[in-house]
Amino acid sequence: MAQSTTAREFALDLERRRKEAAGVALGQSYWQIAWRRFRRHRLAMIGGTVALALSLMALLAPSIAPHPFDRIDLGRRWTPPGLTANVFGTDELGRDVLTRIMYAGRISLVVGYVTAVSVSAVGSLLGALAGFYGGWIDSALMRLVDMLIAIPTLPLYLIMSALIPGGGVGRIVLIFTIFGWTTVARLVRGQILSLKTQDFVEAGRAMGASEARLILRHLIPNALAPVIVAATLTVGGAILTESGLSYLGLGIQPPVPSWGNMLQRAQEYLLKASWLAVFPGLFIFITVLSFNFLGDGLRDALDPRLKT
Amino acid sequence: MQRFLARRLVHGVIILVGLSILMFTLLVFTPGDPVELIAASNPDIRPEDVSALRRYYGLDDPVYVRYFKWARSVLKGDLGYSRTYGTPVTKIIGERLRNTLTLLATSVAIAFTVGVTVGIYSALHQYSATDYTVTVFAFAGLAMPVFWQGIVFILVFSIWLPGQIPWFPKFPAGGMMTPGIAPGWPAFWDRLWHLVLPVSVLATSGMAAWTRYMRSSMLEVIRQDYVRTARAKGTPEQAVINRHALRNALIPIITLMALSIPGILNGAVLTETVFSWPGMGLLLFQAVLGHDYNVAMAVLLFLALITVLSNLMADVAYAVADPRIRYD
Amino acid sequence: MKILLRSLWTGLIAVLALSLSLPWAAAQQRRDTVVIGMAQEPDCLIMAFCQMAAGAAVANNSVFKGMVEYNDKWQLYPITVEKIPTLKDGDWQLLPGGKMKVTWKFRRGFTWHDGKAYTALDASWTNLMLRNPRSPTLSRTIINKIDNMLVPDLAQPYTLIVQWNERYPFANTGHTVYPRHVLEREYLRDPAGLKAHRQARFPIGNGPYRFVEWVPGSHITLEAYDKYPDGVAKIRRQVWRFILDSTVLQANVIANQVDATEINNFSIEQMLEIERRNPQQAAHYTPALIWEHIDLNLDNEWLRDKRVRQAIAHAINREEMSQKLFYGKQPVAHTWLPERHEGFNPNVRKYAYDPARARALLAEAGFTPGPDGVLRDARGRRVEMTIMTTAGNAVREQVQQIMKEQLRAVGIDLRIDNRPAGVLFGQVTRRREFPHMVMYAWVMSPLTLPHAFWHSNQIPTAANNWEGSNYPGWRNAENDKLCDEALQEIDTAKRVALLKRQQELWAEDLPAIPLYFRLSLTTSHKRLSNVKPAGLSGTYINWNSQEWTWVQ
Repeated sequence: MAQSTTAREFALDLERRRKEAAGVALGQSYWQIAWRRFRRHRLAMIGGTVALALSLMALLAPSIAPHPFDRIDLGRRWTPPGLTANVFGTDELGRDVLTRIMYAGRISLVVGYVTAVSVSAVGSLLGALAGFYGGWIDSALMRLVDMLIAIPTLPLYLIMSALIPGGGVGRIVLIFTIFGWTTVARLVRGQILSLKTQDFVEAGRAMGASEARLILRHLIPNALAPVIVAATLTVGGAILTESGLSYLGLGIQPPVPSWGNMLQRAQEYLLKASWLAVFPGLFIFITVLSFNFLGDGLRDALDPRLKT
Repeated sequence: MQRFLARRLVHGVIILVGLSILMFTLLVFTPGDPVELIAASNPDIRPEDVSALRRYYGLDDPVYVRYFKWARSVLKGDLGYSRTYGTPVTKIIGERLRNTLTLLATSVAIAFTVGVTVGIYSALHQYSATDYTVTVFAFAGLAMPVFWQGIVFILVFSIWLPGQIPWFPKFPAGGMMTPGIAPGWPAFWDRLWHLVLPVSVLATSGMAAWTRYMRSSMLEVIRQDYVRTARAKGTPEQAVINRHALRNALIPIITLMALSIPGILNGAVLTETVFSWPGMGLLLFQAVLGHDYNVAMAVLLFLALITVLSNLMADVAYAVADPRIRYD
Repeated sequence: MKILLRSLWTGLIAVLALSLSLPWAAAQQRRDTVVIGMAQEPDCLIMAFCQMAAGAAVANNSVFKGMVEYNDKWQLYPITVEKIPTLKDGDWQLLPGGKMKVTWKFRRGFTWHDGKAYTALDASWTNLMLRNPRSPTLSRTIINKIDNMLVPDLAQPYTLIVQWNERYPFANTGHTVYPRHVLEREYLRDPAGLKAHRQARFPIGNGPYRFVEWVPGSHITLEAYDKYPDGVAKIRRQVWRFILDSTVLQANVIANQVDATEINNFSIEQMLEIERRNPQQAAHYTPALIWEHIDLNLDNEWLRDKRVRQAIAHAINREEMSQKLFYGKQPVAHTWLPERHEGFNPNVRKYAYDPARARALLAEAGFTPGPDGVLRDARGRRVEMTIMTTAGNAVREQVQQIMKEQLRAVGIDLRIDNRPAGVLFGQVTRRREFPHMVMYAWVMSPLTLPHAFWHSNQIPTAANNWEGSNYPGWRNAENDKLCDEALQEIDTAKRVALLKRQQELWAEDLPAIPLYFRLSLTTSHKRLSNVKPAGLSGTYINWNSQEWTWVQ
């Protein structure tokens, strides 16, 4: 993701971490220690709680939204926010903004989560292949990675959006995955490179485990920690990038609401009804912020070196 | 070192060629070619006119033929004509490149200076109130949608504040200069004035990122043995930081600088669109939407070239700055 | 390192301090300049080769002046010619065999901006150049109707005789004239190269303003031409600024940083907001010839039935949309020709909002309600229809939302599937790839005739190479006859009668749902006097900009 700057920051630590992690088989106690460390990270705890609350809000939108979804009421257009039936006000068609925010949250968060999962899956697999087999597979994949990180992603997204028709979640996730797997692939490749020379892999080999089994059951799980962190940061990055694409008119297309396209639509009425832009903007901001805090905390927690 | 550099150069070339093929194919397969667009907006146009225009723009050749035609002329130094602007691409790019570089250089300089300074301070005062504030602000900077920030800035600094406070200077709501301004100093100041809002928007996320990088890099370094040793020897704290810690903490930042160029360019596309800044980002956006393949290709390759070169420079700088690093 | 940082900091603070303390030129309006903002940048300025309206605004209204033009009353008036030819005066003659002859007398005194004389020879040469198959001319429809243009007296080249091959009712609207002496050399070398000619970027015109500079992505500067025969423009400089984001353009208007706007993409809401925020700026709501509508695909088995089309019209509350969304400013359309077009027929069949009637019509057409409240057709299929439009157009998306709710009330489930404008117009409408409905606008002119839109030989098919704009696929024999006749009818009264009858047929058959007529929205500073927006495509706000002045 373009905005997941912290992922790069994380890549910085990797070199050191790889050396440190050598020989450490990630057992039960590792995760317990990590959890204890995570709980001490105040910002991450707040971030995690907020992220959880936002996800619940989106999940339960149909039951907790104050108004039916997309109910138009031309008599109540432009109601400003306040202690009325519409706490966040109404929009240009008299629809309740709070209700729309909740439903849009479902789309935006789905974009974030699904992108994170698919980017991690594709990235882990390709990274593991490159790291495990080396040779031409490694060179080819790494050249591809070099190529994809050599140009800014937004123009690529632009072209792909024009190329792939439709305006739904699937398209956005597909586009994000096609160009977003590189960070994870590099992380996993690095991990695998250092892991594959280690005892438990040698042991597995000696016991006649197949290569696929080795990769899927031993190598990838052991490289999981950095992937989890990168995935967490990807959630926020994807939401942010979708809003940028929406601004250029190429994100999730209305009538499906996303925070990004609500924001884009609100722009036109910025001077007349600034609340239409304030709330989606705020929700994007808070969501990205909490996932970044969460990712930061996870990184500190999963990396035994940084904090004492 | 030389062998290493040669290898990196070869890689760079492979990347550029691969990208050009990828981009060209993607662009060509984008639905709705320019002639169809013209035809659709004009009910008077006849099929003969359409096919004549298609021939005129060479749209009927197979993709690979078009790619080779394009590649051959590029190798001869001819980037072709812009279909929408009817001028050589080099002419358009030249001007836009300068505008984008002005914007980029200014914001990177500001982001770097502020980010690094604040990052160092934050690291040296870890867990202080300032450190927390800085951290929260840095995260906030990274979570803000760029275009959204731009629009809010225009509202606040061009409309709202000047309307509220009589003496508040009115910032221009977009554009690069006041048309028709006298050349020389007035023009210079005018351009600078137009730079303020877009640069502050573009610099925000960069500033936040540098703060984070610098803080963690610095934290890392001051825990190292040689810093501890220097301290133990009784070297004054100021000297420890300046002579030992700072230099080592800045080394990884150099690589990150190169790596962050594509991300900054992403931000530039949005910032240029919001502020009508006549740069490469805006040009690219319009070229992609308008099917102006020659322009889009040229801009994309330029951006890739900038990235490849900055990576190469980072490798060199890295080698120079850190004597421990040796390339085979 | 520390020193480097410190010096960078010092520099930064110094620059900030300086920039805040300077008096800003931008803040004070210089009254020898008018700045016009547009949400578009022209592609090129030889308009016969280019497509963007922004170019036409700059080139055709300020830099060039035509033989005749429309004013804000939509009357033709002569500019570089002495008079407008009429049948009565005999300078427009109908010849046997359907041919025509039109004689134009050019005025003396017009010059190109490089000082060379502007004559009828330029006009006849331009005609030759544009009809050359190797020139990148966009449309040759009119040119193909012309046999020849002659200049009888080469010593006094101020008379132009246009010989027409066929009848055409608008033979008095003038012709394109480009400077022969500028373009001829390149034309003789390679006509295909003309689009890249310097003239396309730096035109030499004959209008009140001459071209000074084009800073791509930023602005175009024009300056008053001192030898303009109808009086030198009163404001010295005209600057066109390109601000693509309409919100940012709006901010510029409110901040008085542009003095006028054209092609601004403003919504009515944005216009009202400008008036509210900055009383110095006038917002102009000019009735125009823009027809917003929904094409129905008549090859669809449901929509083939006239009753279904009429039911849809009855089910949509267009009056409420007009009142609520557009504050009553954009009137509901009942036919396809706008009110200000000469052929407008107010007495066509109208479809008032009447959901009960809509339900009755649908029942009559054999649809029965299903368990989910959505209708089923005779074969038991759920009535779900797709509506497409240009993605990112706020107003159209609002209309879709309202329609979705209102059609649901009569049992039709509407699915929304929008595409970027390039794809929608480049592919979906042109190849009739919309399954049921597509919403967009036709921008018409006083010369618009029904033929290209409604004649059955204008239904695009693969066989005819997608020619024509009858996207709904309407077939009606009487309508075809009327379209053919109107195309050749010179007599205005007779032509208007044909158009009125055509609209009656159209409204009865309803191949498209007429929504509303859009306004042309422009703004100008109140101290800028003589601004008279015309609301015609081709006649932009600056059509009389040589007469604009700043008043105190």
